[in-house]
Amino acid sequence: MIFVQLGTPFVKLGDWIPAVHSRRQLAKQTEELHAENESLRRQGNAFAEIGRENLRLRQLLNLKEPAAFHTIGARVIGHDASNWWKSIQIDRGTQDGIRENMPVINADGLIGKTISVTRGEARVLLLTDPNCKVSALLQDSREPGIVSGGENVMGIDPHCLMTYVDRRAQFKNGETVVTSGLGGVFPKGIPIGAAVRVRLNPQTGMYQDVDVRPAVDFHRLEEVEVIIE
Amino acid sequence: MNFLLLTGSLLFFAALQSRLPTLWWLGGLRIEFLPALVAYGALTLRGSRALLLALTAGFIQDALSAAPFGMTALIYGVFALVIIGVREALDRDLPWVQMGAGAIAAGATSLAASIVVGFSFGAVVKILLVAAVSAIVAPLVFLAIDYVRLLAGTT
Repeated sequence: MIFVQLGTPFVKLGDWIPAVHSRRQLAKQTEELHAENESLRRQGNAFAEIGRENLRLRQLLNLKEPAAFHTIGARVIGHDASNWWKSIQIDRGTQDGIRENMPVINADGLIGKTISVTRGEARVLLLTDPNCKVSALLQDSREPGIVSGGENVMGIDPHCLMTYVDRRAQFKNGETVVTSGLGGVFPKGIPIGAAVRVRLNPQTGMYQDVDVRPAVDFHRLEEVEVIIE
Repeated sequence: MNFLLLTGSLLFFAALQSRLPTLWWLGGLRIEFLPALVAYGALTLRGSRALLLALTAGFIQDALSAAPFGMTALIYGVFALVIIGVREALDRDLPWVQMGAGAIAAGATSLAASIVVGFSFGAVVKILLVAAVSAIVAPLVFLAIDYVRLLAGTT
């Protein structure tokens, strides 16, 4: 008891000394990290359990296992020479197993598809080109639609347009848009972007048009991956 | 103008057009040099050579983009034929003539492309911007090629 009384002034003093003060902070940080670690481990266990359940249900329903992508890396060696089309040139061609209509991705999401291939090079039509149409889904609400390049007069911020979305569909602003796997070109589940603005189609009024901000930064494309299988 | 200089100019301006970065302050617009080159050919060269230059420039531009192959070549070819037909009435040394020819060449290809992509109010603004930039570029291309011709002694 007497030691505690004697030590109190030193503890108080220690609060004013930076080294001791930071040690206290470190102790507090360690405590917080322990708590966070505990929470993440609980989450990890829950995810593992969900994964096992998913596996069991797949076996129960006899669902086919989604195939893993086989990709080949490529460098961007050129951009489109015109103001009206959005494409890039990559340094892989038929000699590397590239063919027309192969999906092109990077770590952020979908970039586009190959449209013309020579022996050593290929041209990739970007997602932001109006001629590139992708069957897509809003990830949470599971609403389907078609994503294509939107009109972009001042092309600083390229965007896409998701059309043919049910007029009664309800979804969150910022909801992720992914490929639906329909159409046979793009595999299911590749991120396309985020839904940012919704309006009723002005011509028909039967569907909603959704502005999609692409997940990929199309101004900074240097390396891409082509899904060859 | 000899064949080597013509080919060199074509390849140089095609490379420049596809390699130069876009102008972010003009809404990401790409500077087009090939319309100015086609205008140069149409106002300067013999009829058949001007047409050949226009078609080749068009095919090169189509090959370097995702445009339907031959579309730009067709537009440049028609443009060259029209200019060849009326050039007796034009003074090719006047900057206004050069600017007008460059703007019409770029505007015509942009109009055709916008019809393919989908015509809208935004497309009209973009066509005007592309034509305006090409009008500025055209006298510079004329000046550059004339200077090289002077150096090469092929005037």
